[in-house]
Amino acid sequence: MAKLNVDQVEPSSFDMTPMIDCVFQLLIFFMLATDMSQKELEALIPPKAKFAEEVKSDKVSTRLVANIVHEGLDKISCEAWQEMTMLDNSGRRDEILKNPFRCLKPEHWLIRIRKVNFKTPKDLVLRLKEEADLEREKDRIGNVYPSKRVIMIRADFRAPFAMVEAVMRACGDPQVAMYKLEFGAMMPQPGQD
Amino acid sequence: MAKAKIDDKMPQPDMTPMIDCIFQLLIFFMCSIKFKVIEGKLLSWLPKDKGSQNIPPPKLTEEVAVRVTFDEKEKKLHYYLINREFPNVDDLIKEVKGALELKKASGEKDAAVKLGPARNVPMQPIIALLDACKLNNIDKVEFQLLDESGLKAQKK
Repeated sequence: MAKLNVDQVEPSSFDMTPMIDCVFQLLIFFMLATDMSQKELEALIPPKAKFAEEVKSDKVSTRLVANIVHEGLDKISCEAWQEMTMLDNSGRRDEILKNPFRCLKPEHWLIRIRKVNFKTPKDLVLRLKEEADLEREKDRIGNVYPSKRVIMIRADFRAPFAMVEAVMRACGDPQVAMYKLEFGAMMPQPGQD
Repeated sequence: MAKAKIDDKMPQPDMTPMIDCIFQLLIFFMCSIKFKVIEGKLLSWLPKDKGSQNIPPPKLTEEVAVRVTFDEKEKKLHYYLINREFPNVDDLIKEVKGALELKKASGEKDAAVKLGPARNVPMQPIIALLDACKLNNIDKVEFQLLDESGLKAQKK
């Protein structure tokens, strides 16, 4: 009987092509689905609005967004927010919705623009002035040249109006004069009411 | 003379480094992914010619002034048009629409709703109010911020 020559047997190798195909498909999917444009959007839950206009993606890079978020629990002690975070983490959102407006203390909320906190009205006015000066109207109204820039106020649905008012007051400052406002809102997801 | 052996097999490129890199990228994107959430916007304005500084409390009979307050103890919202309270947003908006139509009929084409929420009102009801305005084709909604005397009156 002829002996099998071990040297002539090629090492077994499996075909990697289908795996590489799948991995490439996944890679392309994740690359396209990842949204890198939302750096200026803080993690918060915006208020719901059925009839909000969709934000056009071509205007995303030029917009100015003032986020209003609750201060982190590592920085301040807020029992109401702690309780709400605990309920959220344990998936008991129904209980949150029964009484969502637990922390309405303005000192517990932050105004954040491009990851920077603005704690005093003066700082906020200076920051908004920089932005407003980029585009001014030609016609003077009273003593000011109003800005053409639009500011989006993106507040958590539980934030008190006092914080939004602070942004509005800064916008109304004669140095800034930004009068076009947008409110960030969450549109209903397909299939939801 | 011995002939040199020619290996007739196709050269196989080593795929390992590429697969390593691809896996690294894949893991990065899988970990960093944050799917797009459909977010929208609702438009509003501040008074262009006045700014927000030191506006006295509105003369309520002259303007379509909507006020919203929040009772923190009872966790209840109160909606007012001028001095009349409404039990819900729908009834309020119907009345607002009627008031605006009257204003327009009397020649005030630029009549706007002046919205003045109290400082402790959460954002959700305010946005719901703007949303209801949009549903009812009320496009001009301006925010009215109170000056110190207005704020004191609001506290009372």
